[in-house]
This record gives sequence, structure tokens and C-alpha cells, in this order.
Amino acid sequence: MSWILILEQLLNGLQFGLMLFLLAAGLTLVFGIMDMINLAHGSLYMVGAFLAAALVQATGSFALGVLLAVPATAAIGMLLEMSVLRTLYARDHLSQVLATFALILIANEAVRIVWGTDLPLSMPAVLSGPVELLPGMFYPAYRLLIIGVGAAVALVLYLLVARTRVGMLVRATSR
Amino acid sequence: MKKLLFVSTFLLVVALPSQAADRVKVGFISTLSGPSAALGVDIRDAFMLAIKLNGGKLGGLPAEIFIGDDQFKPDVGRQLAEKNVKLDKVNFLTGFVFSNIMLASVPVAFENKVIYISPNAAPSPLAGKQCNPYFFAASWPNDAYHEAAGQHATDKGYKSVYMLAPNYQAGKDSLEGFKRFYKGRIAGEVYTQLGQLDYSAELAQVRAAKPDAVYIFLPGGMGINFIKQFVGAGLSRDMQLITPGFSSDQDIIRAVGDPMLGTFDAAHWALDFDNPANKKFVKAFDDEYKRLPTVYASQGYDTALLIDSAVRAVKGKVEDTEGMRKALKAAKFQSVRGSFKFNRNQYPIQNYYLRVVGKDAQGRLVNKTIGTIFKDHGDAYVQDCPMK
Repeated sequence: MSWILILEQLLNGLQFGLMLFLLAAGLTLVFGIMDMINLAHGSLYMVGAFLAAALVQATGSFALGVLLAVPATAAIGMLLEMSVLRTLYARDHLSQVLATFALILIANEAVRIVWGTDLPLSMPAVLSGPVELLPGMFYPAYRLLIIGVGAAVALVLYLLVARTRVGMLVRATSR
Repeated sequence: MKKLLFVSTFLLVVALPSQAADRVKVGFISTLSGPSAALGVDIRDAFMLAIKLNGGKLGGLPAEIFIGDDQFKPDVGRQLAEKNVKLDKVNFLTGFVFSNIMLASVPVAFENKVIYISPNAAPSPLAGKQCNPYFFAASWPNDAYHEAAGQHATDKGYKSVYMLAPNYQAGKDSLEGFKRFYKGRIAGEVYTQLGQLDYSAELAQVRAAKPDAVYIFLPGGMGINFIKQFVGAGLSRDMQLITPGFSSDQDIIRAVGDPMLGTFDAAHWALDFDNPANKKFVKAFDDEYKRLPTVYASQGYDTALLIDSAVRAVKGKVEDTEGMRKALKAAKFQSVRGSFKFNRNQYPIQNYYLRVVGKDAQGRLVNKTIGTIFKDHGDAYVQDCPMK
């Protein structure tokens, strides 16, 4: 069992875990503060990915497309909150589950209607190759980026919640 | 009440004869959504193109096609097949891409004596012991491309090969086929989950095994992701990637791009085949859909031509299932792959060729035919089939 194999699998596990963290962090914040179960959280994730792919194709630049996708998805999230989710805060968890489950189905079909089923997205050349971490040990650049972004988001969220006034308000209202 | 019953029964009996065959009804169920939708969409587009070029007819009768999307789910495929066979009363069923969905859905056609012509999946159980008179494979036996690739790997002298395929019937057939003709050492044989898109764990193991070449059968979205990740992990510099035609065709090339240059693959058909039927097909497909056809499209097109020949042979009497079966077995049509004939288990006997991904005259990435691996090659299961 070579150490390269162990190291590579450890990095794979770290990358997968951080990717799940990126998804789960938002969900836990919403549940902890608002006491609302939002099953459609994953759908927002999907909408963000499709928007990023569409914007990358439209602008021709990977970085620009991804950067623009963040406020675009935030806008859709806000629209969703103002229209549907706001009515669910006062209700019990079962109603929230039913309503947000419906949102999942609607989001799936809406994405299929808008973009069809095939929206290819390729990474820019700088991310699609390997990086030599140690002599003889290569790891894909893209996965290293996910690890980097995940760790950065974790740090920023911690600082936000523990060290800022906004974070203090969040901690006060959460359970 | 009795009078109402009598009158309604009389009307029903009188109405029935008017349902004589004035058109051919075909149920077309395929994977039209999800990461592997490109395959089903290509088969459907080529199938409909053949009918359109024929004036909307099959064998001289107007064609009514019921198109359904199995969404990559066997239970959905089965429901659609039941609807097509029992409610729409189709004369032919066709379309499935994936063997697992097809195997779950076609029994209802066999039980109701409806002919199923496969434009793609053709698994080994139906070639051997469970061969069925109502099943025709217009494509190839599932193992064939893999046997050809295995022969190519032997010819090239690769000392060790690491193999990956998804864990379903066609995946198992593929690696069995490769091993049948590859005489070197198998460095690894891994079955991944059908539909898996993240291969980081498997690629780490491939790197540790250090083979000369890697053989994958990963159709559709699975192959696109694997090849991108294979190149991303730096493995393409150390080992040669060999694939069956499925994992190097236009749908994968469109998504992966230049990293595909120089990949060798094995298939029964390529864009550059020089016969008149193929030249017409490739040009019409490109003009109509503004993209180049894949092997899947060529198979969908041939399926339509095959149905056309069968209906023509029975002179439009589509109720004559036995007559159409005999006509199908004779396979008198101009296939885009050149010569075509059925074995006694109703699977094709045909040639298989070596292709390489390169650029055509217009600079587009295409597969070019560079040699013949097998001539008049059948399959390894026909001896178990009791059909004549």
C-alpha cells in the first residue's frame, strides 16, 4: 500500500467532505436561525451551477462567469424567500417539508425547460491539469481549488459568526 | 338497459374492423434526459430523419411514432413499454439505450408478440440461452467492440491493462469481451456504479497499479467525466487510454475536446465510410441537426431502414408479425455500415474497425478509420441459442 495512494485518497476524502460542507453550511444556518427545513436548498445549488455554466458560455470567461453566478443565484434565493419561504416561517415543520419538496420538483422541471438536458461546461486549461504537490505525487488542480475554496468559506463563516456584530445577532437568535 | 347494451355492443363490433392497418405504429422509448441523454437523443434524431427522408413513411405506410423518455430509470421504461404495447398497440418497439432498462421493459413486448428491434443495447443473455424470436439487434452484440479493443491491445503488445466498467449487464459483458481477446496481464478489473460521475477514488487506484494501458467502457456522461478527470490527474501522460467506440464518439468529443486527440477506439462504423447510404446519412444529419452523428445515430438510422424493409416485404400487412419477422431476418436493406447480416440468434455478423481521434478536412475532431480488426465477426453466445 504505497503512501502516494493513501495521501491521494485522503485528499479525495477531504475534497468530497469540503464540497458537502459548502452545501450543508447554508442549510444548517437556515435551519439553526430560522428553524425552517428548506429541502429546496439543493435546488438552489443546482440553479447556481446551471447559471454558472450559462454565464461562462455567454461571457466566454470562466472566472467572470462564476463570479457573476454568485449574485445571480443570491437574487434567485432572495426572490424565493420573498415569495414562498416567508410564508412558511410560522408554520410547522411538516408544512415546510411539503412546500419545499414541491419547490424541488418545480426547480427540476424549470431547469429542464430553460436549459434542456445538455449544458456542457469545461474548465479552463489552468484548472484541467495536475499539480505536482510532492515529487511523483500529482493531484488535479480543480480538486485542490475545491479544497481551497471550502476551507476559505469555512474560515470566513467562522469569523463572521464568532467575531462580528452580525454574527452576534445570528448566535443570539439561533437555537 | 338491455337495449342500450345491445346497441352499444353492435356499434363497438361495427367500429372494430375500421382499425385495419393504414399506418405503422412504432413505440420509441429512450434515455432523453440526464447526463447520458446525448445517446438517446442521437438515436431518436437519426430514426426520425430516416422516416422524414422517406416522406414520413415506413415501408410505404405512414408512420406513427410514440416517443417516450425512460429518464434512465428501468421502472419508467417498463411503464412506457406497457403503455405502447397494450394501449397504443404498436407494431414495433425500439429505442432503449441501456441494457438494464431494456431488459426490464421488453418482456411485455415478447409476451404480446410485438417485435423489439434494438438500436443499441444487445446483452449476452438474449444472444445465448434466452434468445427470443421477437428480439432483433440492429446494432452489435454488446461484447463486440470490447472484443475488438482487446484484440487491438494484444496486437499492440501492452503488457498490462487496468479495466473499468459500470456495474450492470453491459458493463460485465464489456470486460468479459475484452478479456476474451486480450492475452496480457489484467492489472485491475473494477466495476463502478452506473451513473457515477466522480472517479477520484478509482483514479488513485489506477495510479498505484501502474498499468501500460487503461481500458474503459463508460458511455455518455460517465465517460466524459472519467476522461476529463483522467487527464486532470496527469495519468494520460503515463498510460494509453483505449476505449470502445462508445467512449470516444462525437458526444464525448464535443464535451472533452482536444484532450481526446490520439485516443484509439474500436467500432463497427465511422463517419468516413465510403458507401452511398452512409454519405447520404452523414450529410443529411449534419444539415438537419447542425452536428455530426455518433455510432448511436447510425444505429437509429439503420433501425428505421430495417423496419422499412420489413413492412415493405409484407406489402403493408403489419398484422403479419411472422412475415415481418422473416423479412427482418433476411435484412435486405442498405445499411450505413456497409454489408449487414443477422446470425441465427438475430444478432449481427459484421466487421469491426480500429479508429483514432483526429481532425477532418474542416478541422473538426472526428474518428478516422485506420484498420480492420475483425471481419464477419459474430458473437460468443450463439451456440447456446436454440433458435434456427
